[in-house]
Amino acid sequence: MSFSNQVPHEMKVVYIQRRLSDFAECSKAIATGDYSFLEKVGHQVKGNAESFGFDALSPIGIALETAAKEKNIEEIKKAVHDFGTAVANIQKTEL
Amino acid sequence: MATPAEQHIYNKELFESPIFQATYKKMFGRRQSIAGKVKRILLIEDDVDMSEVIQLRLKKMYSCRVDIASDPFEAMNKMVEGYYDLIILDWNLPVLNGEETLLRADQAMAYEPGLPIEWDKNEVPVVVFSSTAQEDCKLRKTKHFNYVGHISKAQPLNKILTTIADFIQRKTGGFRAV
Repeated sequence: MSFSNQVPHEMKVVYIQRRLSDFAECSKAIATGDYSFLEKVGHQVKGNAESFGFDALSPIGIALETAAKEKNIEEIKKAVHDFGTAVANIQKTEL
Repeated sequence: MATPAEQHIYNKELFESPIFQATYKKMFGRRQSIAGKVKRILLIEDDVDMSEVIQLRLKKMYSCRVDIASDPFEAMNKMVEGYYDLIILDWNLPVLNGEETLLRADQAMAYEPGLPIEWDKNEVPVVVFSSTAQEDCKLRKTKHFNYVGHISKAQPLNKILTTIADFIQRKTGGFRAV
């Protein structure tokens, strides 16, 4: 069974919509210093992006989780920026 | 304040009283075991994207029932309501981690009079499902649960589903593919 048959298209669309919501929440979390939220988002994206066929998001999730654990605000900002760009790109080109 | 031993005696008397048993049966009569009919899987996962897609695909591919618990306490409630042939356990759950969830559930079951009888006869195989490395996910053996393996989340869905199906085949006697 091919991978594209495993995840229905509508579930991929919902997945990306949730990531856009995550991106907005991450921006707020940076402002409030909510590192645990940022770490959670990074951890989940690290774990689930490849399952949905969005492999490009996995390394960004890893970077965000690591930066949030270290409370490295510059790296967090970079990872969140990359995350937003990558999600917007997927929405434009793949869905 | 009652000692743990006194507390235990108190609970035992309460649970075994005819009034309690009659009330319990009336309230929770639906807690009949369906083991042996359809394989039941409990997916304990707070990542809604993962839980939804795995539930959908497993149900579509195999004749099994997949219940989802999104936090440890919902999981405990589902476990005392019914027996499961396999538990798929996320490691990073809200409030408690995977091991703490199973330890708390194991303790809670000791005081649950309506617990399906299968829980006393069998250990339920537990597969840890996490993007945390396998060596960091350590489960102690308990009365009701038996750790049987680890599945990485960071892989394509078809591999995850194949591995879950393989665990069901080996650990529960298998299920019928649709």
